[in-house]
Amino acid sequence: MKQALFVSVLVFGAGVGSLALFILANRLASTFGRRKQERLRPHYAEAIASFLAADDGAKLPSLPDWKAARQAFWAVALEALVELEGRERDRLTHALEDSGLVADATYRLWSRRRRVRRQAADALALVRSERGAGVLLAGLDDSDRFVRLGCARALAELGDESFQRRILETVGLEASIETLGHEAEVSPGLVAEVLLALGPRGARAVAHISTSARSEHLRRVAVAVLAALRLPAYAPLLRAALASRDDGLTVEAARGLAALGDVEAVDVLLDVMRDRDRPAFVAAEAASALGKIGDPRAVPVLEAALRSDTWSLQSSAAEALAELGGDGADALQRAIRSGRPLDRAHALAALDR
Amino acid sequence: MKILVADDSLTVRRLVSARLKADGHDVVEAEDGRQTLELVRTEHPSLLVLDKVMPKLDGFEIVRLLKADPQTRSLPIVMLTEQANEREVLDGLELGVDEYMTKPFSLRELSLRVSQLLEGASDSA
Repeated sequence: MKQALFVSVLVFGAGVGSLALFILANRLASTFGRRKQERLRPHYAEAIASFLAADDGAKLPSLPDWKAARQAFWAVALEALVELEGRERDRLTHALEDSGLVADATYRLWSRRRRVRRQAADALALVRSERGAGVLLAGLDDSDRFVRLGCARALAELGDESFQRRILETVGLEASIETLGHEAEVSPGLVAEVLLALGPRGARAVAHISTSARSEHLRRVAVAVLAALRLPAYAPLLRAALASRDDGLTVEAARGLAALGDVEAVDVLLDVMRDRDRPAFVAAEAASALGKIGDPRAVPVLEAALRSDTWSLQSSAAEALAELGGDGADALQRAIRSGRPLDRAHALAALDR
Repeated sequence: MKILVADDSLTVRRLVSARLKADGHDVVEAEDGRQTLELVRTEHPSLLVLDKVMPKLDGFEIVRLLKADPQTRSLPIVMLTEQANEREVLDGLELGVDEYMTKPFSLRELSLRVSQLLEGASDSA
């Protein structure tokens, strides 16, 4: 009996020991690999920079087969792609295709490890290579939400209209779908990235979310995306969002309408500023929008806001009055002469800009 | 001409440096704000390519210090920024930034802008 117990303890101890050794060896290998990559990065940054600075006939240096070198090169190349646009970016993308690194990334989309598949999808979104399109389309059916959205974004970055329907279906936003899908409800930020990557082509779907999403947060994200797209055709929708009682929607819509310089939004912006139930940050955003749109009708309301007791609202109102110039500048001069120290300080700061 | 490239990203420094070297310039590199100021004073570059977000001293602070010093006031500066809003651009131009380039950027465009600024600087000298 004692002997059996002893053997069991021995086997258990050996098992735990082997496991610990395995974990330790893995950690050491990973640390060693990371250090190796860090050492190689300057060398590869130099190689990529020299390749891009040389004439069109230049080639990237051939890469060794070992993993750490290819990973280091890939990481530096992705960093360069983030920073570059134009012909150099295209040249680097083609060189990465020719070196087989894009193929490596598409292959990683089949990995059993979720983290690897997610990273591959994100990297392919940066590379924007059409060679990955087939695998990315397959990735839209991945079991992991982040991989699906990553692939959708990568396909959106390619700018090929024929993928649009599949992308929107994947993120659950195909405009004909009555109820928004799971992806959009649970990952609004990632969905916003996909929609931004689609650009104006995805605007119809964004407009659909901004009015139909059950999630308040998702509606705000959609209005923010619509605002960032700056499409005059969607100004009426932004005006409707501006008038909503959801302060988040109002703020995003005010930013978008300001960027569009939408004069038709002025009346609603003035109502927002006069509404005592609105928090100061909403009134401050409306004030900024009024300054950017540049309608002198806003001067009396902005002048009243300059006398409020909230710093951010006073500051935004003063800056808006300065942007309006003319009657706005006169209002700032009155504030300077008013004898109220804070009004005077905000007015002087705004005129000084 | 000697050009100082200041950016905390090694990759960006190398990309910009290689392009400018290919154009025939001498290039020195700085990886943070303090080193940038130090190299401006010791290397006397003809132009500074400056990232707006830098450790130790940010780009705007560097511009302010350089423009306040009669020795470095006339140094042409090209500022690289992430998506800059109008206010930031105006603040930078008021401080004395000569050119703004928003990341992602084109190396060829940077090269052209640098050449134009250097030509302008030598014409006015």
